[in-house]
Amino acid sequence: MEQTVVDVNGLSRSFGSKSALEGASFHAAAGQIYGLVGANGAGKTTLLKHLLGLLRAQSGSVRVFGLDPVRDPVGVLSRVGYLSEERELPEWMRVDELMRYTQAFHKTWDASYARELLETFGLDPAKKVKELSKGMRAQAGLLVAVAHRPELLILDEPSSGLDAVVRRDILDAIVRTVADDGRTVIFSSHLLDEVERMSDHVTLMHHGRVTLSGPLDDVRRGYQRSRVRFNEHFDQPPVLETALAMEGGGRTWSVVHSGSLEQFQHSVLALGGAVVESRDATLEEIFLARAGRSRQQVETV
Amino acid sequence: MDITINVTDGVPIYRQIVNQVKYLVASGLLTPGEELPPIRTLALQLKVTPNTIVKAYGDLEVLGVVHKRRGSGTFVSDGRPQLAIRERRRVIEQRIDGLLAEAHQLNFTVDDILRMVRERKVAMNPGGNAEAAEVEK
Amino acid sequence: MLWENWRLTRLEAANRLALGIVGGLAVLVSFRAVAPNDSARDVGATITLCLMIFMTFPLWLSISKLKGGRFLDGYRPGFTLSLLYTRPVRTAVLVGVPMAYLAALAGAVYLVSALVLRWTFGYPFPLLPVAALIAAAHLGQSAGDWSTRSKVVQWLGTMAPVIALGSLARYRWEGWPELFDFSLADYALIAAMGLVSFGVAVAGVARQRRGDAKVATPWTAASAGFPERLVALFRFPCPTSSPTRAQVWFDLKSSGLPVLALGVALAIVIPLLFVITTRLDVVLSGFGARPATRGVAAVVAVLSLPAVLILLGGNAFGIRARQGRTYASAFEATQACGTARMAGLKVLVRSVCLVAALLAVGTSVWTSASVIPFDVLEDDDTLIEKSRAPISGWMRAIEGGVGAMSTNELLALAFVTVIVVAVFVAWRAAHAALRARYPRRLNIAGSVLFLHGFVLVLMALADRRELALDTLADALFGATQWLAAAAIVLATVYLFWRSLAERLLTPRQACGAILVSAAFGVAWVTVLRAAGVQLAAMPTADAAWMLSPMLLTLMASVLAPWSLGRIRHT
Repeated sequence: MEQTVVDVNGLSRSFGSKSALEGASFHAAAGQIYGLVGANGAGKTTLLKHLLGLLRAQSGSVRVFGLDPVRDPVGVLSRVGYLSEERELPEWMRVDELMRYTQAFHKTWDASYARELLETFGLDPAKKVKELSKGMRAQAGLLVAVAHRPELLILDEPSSGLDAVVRRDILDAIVRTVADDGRTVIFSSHLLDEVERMSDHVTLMHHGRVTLSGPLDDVRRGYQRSRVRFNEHFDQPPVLETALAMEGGGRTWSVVHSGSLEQFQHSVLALGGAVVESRDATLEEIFLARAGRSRQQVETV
Repeated sequence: MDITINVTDGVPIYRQIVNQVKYLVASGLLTPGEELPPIRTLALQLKVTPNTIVKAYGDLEVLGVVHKRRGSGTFVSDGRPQLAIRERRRVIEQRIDGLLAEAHQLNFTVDDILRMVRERKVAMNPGGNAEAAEVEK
Repeated sequence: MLWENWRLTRLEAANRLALGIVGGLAVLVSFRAVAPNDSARDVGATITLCLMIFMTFPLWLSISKLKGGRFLDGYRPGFTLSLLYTRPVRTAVLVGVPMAYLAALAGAVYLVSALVLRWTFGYPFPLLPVAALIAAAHLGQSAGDWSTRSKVVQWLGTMAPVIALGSLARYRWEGWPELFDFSLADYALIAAMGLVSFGVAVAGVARQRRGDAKVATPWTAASAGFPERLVALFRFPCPTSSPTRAQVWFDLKSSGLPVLALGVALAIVIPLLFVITTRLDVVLSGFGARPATRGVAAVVAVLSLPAVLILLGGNAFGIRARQGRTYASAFEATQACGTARMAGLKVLVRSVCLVAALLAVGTSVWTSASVIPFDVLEDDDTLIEKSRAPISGWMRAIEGGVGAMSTNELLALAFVTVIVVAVFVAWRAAHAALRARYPRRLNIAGSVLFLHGFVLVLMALADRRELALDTLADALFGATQWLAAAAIVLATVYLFWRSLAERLLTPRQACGAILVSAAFGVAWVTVLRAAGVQLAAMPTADAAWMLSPMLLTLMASVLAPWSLGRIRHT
């Protein structure tokens, strides 16, 4: 049952002279949660907008459920739930009107689920969108995005600027979507611990390119964090081949490195040290180490 | 089921779940034949992706700690785990290697470690025997 | 801070300067070409002067634009550059610099254009008096706009300086060539007005800075468009049975019913206005004055229909402007609704409501004009009384013409009216969408067309003076006609082909559009025949031009969905 839900190949997009995406590829299979990670301006929102047909592919192809979202918006959007970063909702609409309006477009609307969500979120159906706080607006947007049981749920920075209660609601919705009948979720986030908990697959983007993509455990296994103890004192971080980031001082250093553990141990031994302990790096450590390294590369060039 | 997850110490989530379930079983807080929470419920409780729970339960089944009954859920196994002795040795040896390296760092000898292992075992089973009294040094 | 103000206003100032000079030149040239004697030329010069003043006029709007809101009601009140509050600068300086800068810039724009025109034409356009007036007006209007957060005070505060200074100018108007005879006292008065405005502005902004003023409502993406209170007037439940009905409900609530409400409101106001002003005139004439307040009612009545059409018929797609960028709503763009259907429904709902509004206003104007007595005053010499005869003559002619039509022709007329309004709405919606998506290309195309039109006008004027440019003028006119026709036909064909290729339009929808245009053509011919135009008796070129609305309808029916598609899928 491994059907491809999203298939993006070699997508490039530029706004005027600024290039937002360069040859980005992304594939999503059914029943999995995909986390998109990247610095601001890395191209996450641009990629997600292509999936909804809000942007036309300038080169490369985008297929959602095998359909082109620009040529067949109804076929794609009727099976997709979307929560945008700005939570754009018509200000004048009331919550109940919003629900009825969305219900008309989706035959798969589950009224009991919608009612249950309304109660859980504690939203007043008579309130207008403009009277809702930011968190309640996100809840309202989430409600109409998931109540029709979409096959694909796309969330752009769902937790940004929201308190813990609303964030919990969003995570619950993500879990429910996947756990019930194997639907797919794609979300982009800055909160790396959230991505680490909630993703099956993680995709790291940087300056419009996809730099890392794969199942979360595989990605993490490619990077380790080791504590190293040297025999001699170092003032500057010692140069180790596969090391991406080093912290510490003197004789004990904490290193985030890629590649195999044996290779790293050899290079440490060559400098007169020993690996004390080693574990898989967390997503945050990988992200920061890569970001730091790229900045270093830019500086040296 | 009382399990906590943290993402800061680098251990994969499914392994944390596996470890904690094994601890619960070993310490008697989960009795043989007791049902583990369904995947969806545990995923909602821990705020992790359900596929991680699937993987954790799968690993636990391979280790023989739990077994799945067709359609009705996951239950704690009776008796000892059924793994090959080599597998079991490998798991424990990994732990011992880590422990020894750490101990070396902190200036404990092997004897100190052995003594402390016994102390901890007693602390886990408060209804222990007279050996406990000797082990205080 | 001066630099910031310069960055904000430079584009607008340059625009207005250019427009002022070019417009002034155009007016003066045309008057010189056409007018027989000096007094008529003086009229032209006066018009130019007014044009230049009008161009510099609300320069302060370019800073106020930052706050958001709509151009029509002067953007949102309150001090714009509120981000500067946290700087360690005194409020007086904070307010004084932009105000002084705006006043100086406006005055400078006027001075430059006046000097240029003076140098080219030799007309002694007044420099200092008018510049002083403009500067003072700017100070006053900035004060009115910035010192308060209340909409009412903003309106009154910006109109008051204009009225005051305008009456001063009118009082001192001497005619050419001296024009304005300002004494020192007048200058002192103007300066005093400026100082008072400055004081008021500083006081108001200090209140806002301290936080004591009324809280400003946060700008949200959808606060452009119709006022929310108007939209909330009509509450009826959204149908959930079909997406088309839900979309119709959405469009009715957000754009159709507000238009209808505004039209009905205007229809009610017009007769009231007539009644009130008539009574007022009777009362005032008792005091011996020569009242003309009925003129206000008449102007409103005359302008009401075009105003409704122009002001309420635009932007049916709901394109919003936010801090200079225009964009369409992502909420609607991600609904599971086809683009062609969305465009069609939006245009249809808005047109139907617009037709209803026009009907309401038209009926109200008609009944006011025929029922309310014009000749209440004994004095038969005022403009109002003199206009009674021609107006009732027109009304009788219209009644006779419509009465002579058969039912078929009346139906055709109704159909033609509805389609014409729909095409108008569709064109304006497409224009708004294309301007949001391709602003630069549209500006270039617009400027080219404007220049072409300008050249044609000059040619026409030269033609009247028999400057022996007949052949060139004729050739240019003929070429323009054929070019326009070819462009429209090619554009229509291209749009249809692209829309069908991109699956924007289904073949069934395309056939529907063609059928509607054909039906419109038939109705249009019927109406023409009823009006006495015999197509068969005309030369083919002219007949083709008579039938061109049909082609425009066809083009509108494909341009609207195509432009919405361009902005929905950027």
